[in-house]
Amino acid sequence: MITVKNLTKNFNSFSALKGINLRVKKGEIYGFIGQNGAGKTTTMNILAGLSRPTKGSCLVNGKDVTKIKHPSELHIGYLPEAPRFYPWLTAFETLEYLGNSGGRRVAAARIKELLDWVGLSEAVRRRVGGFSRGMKQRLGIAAALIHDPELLIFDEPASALDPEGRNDVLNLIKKLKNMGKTIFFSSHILSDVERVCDTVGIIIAGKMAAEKPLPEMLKEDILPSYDITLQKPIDSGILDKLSQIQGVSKVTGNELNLSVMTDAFFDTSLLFKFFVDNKLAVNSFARRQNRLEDVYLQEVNTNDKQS
Amino acid sequence: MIVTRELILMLLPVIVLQLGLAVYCAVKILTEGVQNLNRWVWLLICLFINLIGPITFLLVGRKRDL
Amino acid sequence: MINSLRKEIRYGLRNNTFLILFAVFFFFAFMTPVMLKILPEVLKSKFPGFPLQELVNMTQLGCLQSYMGDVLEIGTLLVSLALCGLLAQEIRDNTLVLPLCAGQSYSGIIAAKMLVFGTAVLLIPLAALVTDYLYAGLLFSFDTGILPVITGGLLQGFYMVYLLSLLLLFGTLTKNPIATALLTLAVNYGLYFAGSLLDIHRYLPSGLLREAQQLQNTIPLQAAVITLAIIIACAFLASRTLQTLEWSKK
Ligand SMILES: Nc1ncnc2c1ncn2[C@@H]1O[C@H](COP(=O)(O)OP(=O)(O)OP(=O)(O)O)[C@@H](O)[C@H]1O
Ligand SMILES: [Mg+2]
Repeated sequence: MITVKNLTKNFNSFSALKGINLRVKKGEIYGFIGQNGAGKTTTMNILAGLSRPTKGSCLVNGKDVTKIKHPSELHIGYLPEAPRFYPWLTAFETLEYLGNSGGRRVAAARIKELLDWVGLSEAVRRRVGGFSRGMKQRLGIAAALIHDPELLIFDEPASALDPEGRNDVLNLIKKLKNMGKTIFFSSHILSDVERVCDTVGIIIAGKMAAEKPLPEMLKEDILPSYDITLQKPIDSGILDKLSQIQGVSKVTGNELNLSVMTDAFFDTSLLFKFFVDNKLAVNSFARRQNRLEDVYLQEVNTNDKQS
Repeated sequence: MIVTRELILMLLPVIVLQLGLAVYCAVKILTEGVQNLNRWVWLLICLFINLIGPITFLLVGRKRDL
Repeated sequence: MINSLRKEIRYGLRNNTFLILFAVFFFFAFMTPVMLKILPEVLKSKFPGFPLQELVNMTQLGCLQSYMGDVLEIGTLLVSLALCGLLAQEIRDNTLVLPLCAGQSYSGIIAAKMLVFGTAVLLIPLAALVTDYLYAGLLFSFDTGILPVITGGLLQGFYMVYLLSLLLLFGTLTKNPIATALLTLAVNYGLYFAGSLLDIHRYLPSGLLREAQQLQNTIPLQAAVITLAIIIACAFLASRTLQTLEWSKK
């Protein structure tokens, strides 16, 4: 539903996007992750038809974003990073105004239902000026859904929300997927992305570092690391010796719980030999499961080394 | 200045308008809060500066949160 | 369209825009007759033998003309300040993003603002002038017909609609309310000054105000047509400029 080829965006002399390629397939949840300032919002603004690309092509819902005259021609539901509302309208009036825009009509019952859905049923008649950030975010989600679009683009839908709110939003996103919608959303919260996404795209400094289905992404060769719990505390001298073992790249943790990062083909017997030699009793020893966070951090690290 | 009953009677519409504005603004200041200046300063401005006081308050002193 | 109009009306009511316009024009409408009424007494007590009648027209007509002078000087200033945020603030605060995504058209946004606030700045000065007429008649005597007053009020209101269109255009160009107000006032006073200097008021919007002040029940056709053209051009340009803006502000 979204095909982006070689998308470039310059702000004056600053190049925010340097040739992005990505593809969002119909019916999937696509998680778009990257550091602050990597270019997520810039990309999403362009995909929503609110900003024009410098170069490259973007097809959204089969429409070329450079050929449209008005953002609404894309028929998407867009949640901006920090949605801005009229503080002097109530939540209900806001959705009524947005819903009845562009020659469409939305019934009052649907507005109530939507507000209920995003957890604002208590605030229907309150003015938006008094809303908290999280409440505005929820209202923004309701606004994106008002015309029941097939494709949803959410810029950090969960970032301003409390833990229950985040949970609600993730469940909502899953529910939307089950209704057959396609969702493209950005996030900093990798565990969220891991929970709901089918495909993950990583953007680093305006370039795509990776784009894969989540299971494949997690199978990625990640340097192994081991979590070790000791029976008795050790002193830092021994910790130092531990990090000098051949193949160990980094040791973190405190005197009882250690994390040992190693090279790719590390022989773990070296660790056990070390424990025996130093008479250290080990309570548990486990290789860490690959998490999206590790994949992500590794991508960021390799990028840092390259530049 | 000659203050007569007649003069006050003539000024009645202006006084009503001014007083109405001042009271409206005072209520707004005390219930909704202010920005840019202290609320007591705004209150004095609205009560003692003719017309321009309340209007200045309504234009720039009203609390508006986005 | 009704949807957008209702939003603009709510804006006007809840942000006191209508109230400010009403207060400004009616304050002067009630104030000038009283000022003119008490002026002789004040002057008599301070400068006995002052040749007052030669300087000030102490009649209902005099009141109306003095009121219109105030409107030109202070009314235009306060209209500009009260309405400068109409579009500029929306662009600056990014509040147009969601309406645009929801399908509001660029021209529809401009049209709704022009219609709602245009009606307000047309009718409020008209009502205020009629009030001034009635109050001055009460304090002095009714020696002028009402028809020229209504024509004058409409001309004045029409001038305010022209100011509104400038405010919308400069709002999209500067995206800053204060800059919008300053630019509009510069054009307003600048054109008036140029009109007087070159004696071309009849080709300028300021001709409307000059004619209104005469209270002759005449319509300056050239000035009216030119003003209407400027209003349409400004509204059109504002909507075109809106269309070319990018909404990726930091
Ligand atoms: N309108 C603009 N003018 C100038 N530079 C901009 C503009 N918008 C974005 N940038 C720059 O482009 C880069 C990417 O910004 P963007 O907002 O897309 O990042 P992001 O990935 O959304 O970050 P975050 O996680 O903080 O939301 C940043 O360096 C930013 O400073
Ligand atoms: Mg962002």
